[in-house]
Amino acid sequence: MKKAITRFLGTLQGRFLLAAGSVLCVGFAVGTALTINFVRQELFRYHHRHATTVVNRVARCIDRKDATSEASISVARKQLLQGCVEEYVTQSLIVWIREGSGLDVLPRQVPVVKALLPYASVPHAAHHGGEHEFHLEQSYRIAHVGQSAYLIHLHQSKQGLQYWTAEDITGTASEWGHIAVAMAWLWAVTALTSIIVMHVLSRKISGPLNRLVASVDALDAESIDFEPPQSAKGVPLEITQLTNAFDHLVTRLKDSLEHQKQFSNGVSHELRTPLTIMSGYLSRLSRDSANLTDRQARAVQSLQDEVARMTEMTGDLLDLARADGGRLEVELEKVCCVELLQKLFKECQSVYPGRLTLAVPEHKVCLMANRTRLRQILLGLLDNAVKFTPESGLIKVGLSEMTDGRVRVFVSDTGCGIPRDEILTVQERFKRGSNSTGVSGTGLGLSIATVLAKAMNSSLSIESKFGQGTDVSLVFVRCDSD
Amino acid sequence: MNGHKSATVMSDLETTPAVVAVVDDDPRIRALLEDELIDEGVTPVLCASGYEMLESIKKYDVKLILLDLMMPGMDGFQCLKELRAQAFQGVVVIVTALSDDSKRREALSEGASDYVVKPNLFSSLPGILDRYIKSKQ
Repeated sequence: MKKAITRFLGTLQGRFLLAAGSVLCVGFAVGTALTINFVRQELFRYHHRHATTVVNRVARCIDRKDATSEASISVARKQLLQGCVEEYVTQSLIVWIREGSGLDVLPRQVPVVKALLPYASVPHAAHHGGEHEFHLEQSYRIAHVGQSAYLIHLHQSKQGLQYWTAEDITGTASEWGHIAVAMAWLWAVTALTSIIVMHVLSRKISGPLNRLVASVDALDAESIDFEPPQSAKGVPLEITQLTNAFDHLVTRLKDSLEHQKQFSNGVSHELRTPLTIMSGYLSRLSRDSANLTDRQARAVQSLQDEVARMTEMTGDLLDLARADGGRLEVELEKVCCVELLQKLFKECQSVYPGRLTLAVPEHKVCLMANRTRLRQILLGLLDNAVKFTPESGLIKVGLSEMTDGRVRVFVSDTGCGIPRDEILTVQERFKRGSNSTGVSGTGLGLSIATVLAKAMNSSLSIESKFGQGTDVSLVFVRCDSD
Repeated sequence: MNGHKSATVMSDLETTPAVVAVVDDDPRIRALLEDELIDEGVTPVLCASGYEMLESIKKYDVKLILLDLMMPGMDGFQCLKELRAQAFQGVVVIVTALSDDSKRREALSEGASDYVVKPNLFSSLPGILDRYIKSKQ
């Protein structure tokens, strides 16, 4: 589940939806909260002003009737204060006074005031205001009595009297509720609309992109036919431009590959034909060697060797060019490797008498490869081994069965080896080891062997110790012998 | 180079059925193959194009055609199609500079019996003649 979510959020569609969700959840929610808070503050200020006005009137009433300040409460004083409070109290705005001793002077005609007394005990911060220099407290104290809501204010006078007001804000609270519900609905509708719109928009972008990806995946070097995805209505301009640009790119690539193919075919023909003619006439000359002097015979032989070398190099270069263009085809077949190695060993024994040993099991071992190409690789590796191993050295060709069921075909020698830092370099084209001075070669043998091995789903690996010898091996998947 | 020999060969053809047709637009290849084939004891017919080849198989009893692929006008593949359309009974061996496996497969599926890449031509020729001509004589 976690992986699926992570994967979804990695897509264009996922990110659009995440962005839309973030904007809504954070942005819209913050905006809504600020709006509600602002409206609430404005309503409270209105009630503050109203309460302050009434409290000022009560205070003036008390002053007029010449009430004393810090003296202990007397019945007369209580009656005076109560009279002033009751003169200005209404059902919607209740006023009562608390003396410094803690005694509450309550209006008699408003029974609900007793229920409000517990809310009039929390200390608040204060600020100065009003003609009597009241400490007007923060009025965020809301009391719920039955179905009604009252906003409790405290006005602290310099004379030490606390004027408490409780304004009925049931209607206002109800309005707040309606506003909050309306905002919540608006939020939900906007969220849903945004998600739908973002989903549709993101599909309009990701759909053509996915089709473009599918068309690109369908390309391969042999059939580089790019079908640009059909342009649906409403696809963003940038996607259309990207598709067109890709179409042009593929067209250029196709042309380039076609030119490369034609060039390879042309080169193949134009190089191989003269080589064939030279090889043919040299062969005829060497057959008439009885009519040649020794010097002429040696010249003919030398020319034949060079023509053979150039023929091989031409073939290698063409194979490498095809491999670069993804056009090197090597058909895989079941190859009886033991038989192939035995035949190869017999042929090479006549060329390199006494220098080779064969290491193959008694039983049949078959693998998926190409007989001709595998033989080509092994001949190349043997040729290298002979060149870089002294007469007294050992060259072994064979195969070994690995524990995981795969088959390792190898050519190993006790020759001069390859310096460690050159093992990768010698597999590059036209690159030869630093110890190959005086030894003939084009530097293509290992690179073509690497390319051919890859074409047969194998890989060439080289282990070598400088001064001790080299082991070159290819690993193949084994297949059933019958 | 071998004008006299060619003339002799050509006059012999009128009395001796031709055996091997060499179809290649390159005159050097044709000349070289002519000499080799004569040395191998077979009678060559030289054709510079597919059209000449079609004329030759009507005129002579051609047993083996050594056919190039890359020729102007009618290329080797078109020649194979024409030979099949005319129900040619002999053997066709492709002799070409192209070593693509795809070309090899295509040629063999179009009716060729063998496919030789040109640098190997002269080393392969005796074997080809043994397999397709001499063993059947």
